[in-house]
Amino acid sequence: MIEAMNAPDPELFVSLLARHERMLAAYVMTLVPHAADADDILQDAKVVMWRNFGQFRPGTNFGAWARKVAFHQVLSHRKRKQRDRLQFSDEFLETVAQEMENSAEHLEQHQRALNDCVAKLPPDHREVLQLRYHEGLSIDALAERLNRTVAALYRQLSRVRRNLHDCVTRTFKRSPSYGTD
Amino acid sequence: MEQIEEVFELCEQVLEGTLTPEGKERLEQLVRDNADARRAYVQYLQVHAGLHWSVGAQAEFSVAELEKMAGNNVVPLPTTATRERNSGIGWRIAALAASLVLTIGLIWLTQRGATPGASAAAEFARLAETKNCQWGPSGLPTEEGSRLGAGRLRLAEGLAVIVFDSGARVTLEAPAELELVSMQRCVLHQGMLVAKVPPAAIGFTVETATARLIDYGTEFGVSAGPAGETQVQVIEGIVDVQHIKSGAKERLTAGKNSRVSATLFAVSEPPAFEPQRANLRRPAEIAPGTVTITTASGRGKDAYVQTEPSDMHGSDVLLLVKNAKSDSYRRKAYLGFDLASLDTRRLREASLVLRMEPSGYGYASLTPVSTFTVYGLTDQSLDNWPEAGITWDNAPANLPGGAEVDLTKAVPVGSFEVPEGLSSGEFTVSGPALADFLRQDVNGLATFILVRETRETRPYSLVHGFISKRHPSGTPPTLRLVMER
Repeated sequence: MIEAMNAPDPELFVSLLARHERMLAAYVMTLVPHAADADDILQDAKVVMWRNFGQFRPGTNFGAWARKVAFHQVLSHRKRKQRDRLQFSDEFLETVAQEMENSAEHLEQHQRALNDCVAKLPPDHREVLQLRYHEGLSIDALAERLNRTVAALYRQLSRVRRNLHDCVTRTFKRSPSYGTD
Repeated sequence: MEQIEEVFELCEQVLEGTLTPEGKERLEQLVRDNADARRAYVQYLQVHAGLHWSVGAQAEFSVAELEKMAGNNVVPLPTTATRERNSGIGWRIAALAASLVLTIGLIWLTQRGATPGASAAAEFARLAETKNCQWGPSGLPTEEGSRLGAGRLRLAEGLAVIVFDSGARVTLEAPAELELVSMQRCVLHQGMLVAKVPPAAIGFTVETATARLIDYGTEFGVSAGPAGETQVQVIEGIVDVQHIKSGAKERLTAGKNSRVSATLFAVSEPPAFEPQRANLRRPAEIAPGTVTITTASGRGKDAYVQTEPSDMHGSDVLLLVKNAKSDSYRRKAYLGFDLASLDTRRLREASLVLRMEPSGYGYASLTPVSTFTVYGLTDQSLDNWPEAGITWDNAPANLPGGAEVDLTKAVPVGSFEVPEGLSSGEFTVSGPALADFLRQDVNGLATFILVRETRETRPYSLVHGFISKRHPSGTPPTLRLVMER
């Protein structure tokens, strides 16, 4: 296949990253659910991956390598940013990371199944997701926009996410090779 | 199983930032001790992450940016990395490729075909074109080319073209307030617009306070007054008009019009009434200059004449001018100035200032750049035309054409252009021809005729309105004269 090169090959890097980016993003956010933090970490992780791409052996598992880099960034990000926000213990993060590593081959398919599950949602559910995730509205702003109570929106968002979770799990159980090419 | 439910609840608290320290302890314990709980946690968070990354984050990836950031923020790998600096041009190309791939995550956003526009994307339209635009306070960007999401546009001046992602194209005419709702829906709170809807955008809906217009691939104009009174003109194709209060629906085809208010729902056929809206008055401007004379000074007068005069399309305060295609609704303005107090032989320079404001008739977007010519009446025996009794037929030097004037009785003294999309503003005619004409005056009265040279090319074009001496606040036509001492 591809010979290991002395100088990192940008095209190879970009194509590998493109193929694994969605999985990697989901990986980071599962460890750090806070959106802005996850964005920062992912961005940092990409820089580090590029800087150290010379270490990566073409033909080996890029996804695993990328997750290792990203996990390290998660930990160092936590150390740098001493927040008042609740922080999970390192042990917890390692457990969660290990769980993802165990099911790594399915992570990508889960994300594809999610696409289809979202498409099946009724319009009002999609709208709530749009406003929450795309426009980044807070629950309060969302409540005001949709003229509903905050409590009702917590309930609805929670219900929508739960439905999606169940849908993804169901889809995946029925066809474990879901979405593979 | 109960524990799994508990995990889901705790997950929600994690996502919404409401997790308590006790909840955190409990969650950590569950995830550590129970394999099913662990799996449930990861899968639930994966849903959240997937939603964020597919709809939320701009996961745009630029290596140039990475390089820039790389200096400070980033903790390198703990291993023995050999640093390969790569300054690179190939990088930018590669970065582009990567950012393209990320659009995969957005697929479901465009998979909403079953109910288009049902869930509003953050941005669904583009401010494609702006002409002479001045904007009021607006939550949306007003720079040409900007992407637009839900919100209101307040256009104080000019023409703005908004192209929705559905393909519908809306030309908004100042003064107007338009609320964008989705790529298939907008609300005209006040003002006028012309909508052009390709087949792909069938179902595009414009709402006013009183009417809902559902388009079936067509071009139509709509105007909404401050109380929601609505007029619709179908230029081409089919539009369904629904009276919001009663729910009654009518199908309009090309050439048909509809008027809707809270209590009225009427459909008419040609002869079409001209689209109109409530007039907006502008504050007066104070005219500087050496000597100024308006049509309100002394024996001054102003009026406009119209073929087939009717009360319906008149104005008490504006001088209406239009070079209509048809015989009806042609209009010319007549201005009389009292020069008796002046020694016109000492006149050095002269200019005539006219102030235009929206007449409320016709669409500016259906009107090209318009040239106006001002004629001076040289047959001074005709200067005594009556302000109240002047008509198309008895007006001095008038000829039947929309812009024609009897050149044996009048001379052109100047012209000006009104840019496309402008329905208000100040226009000045000046130069030696104007001054020469005034110097010839022998009877202390000067008459000007204002005509629009540019002929209407499409129906429903704009009727230009110039502030008359009867206008409650605006400054009437004004002569600014510089005299020799």
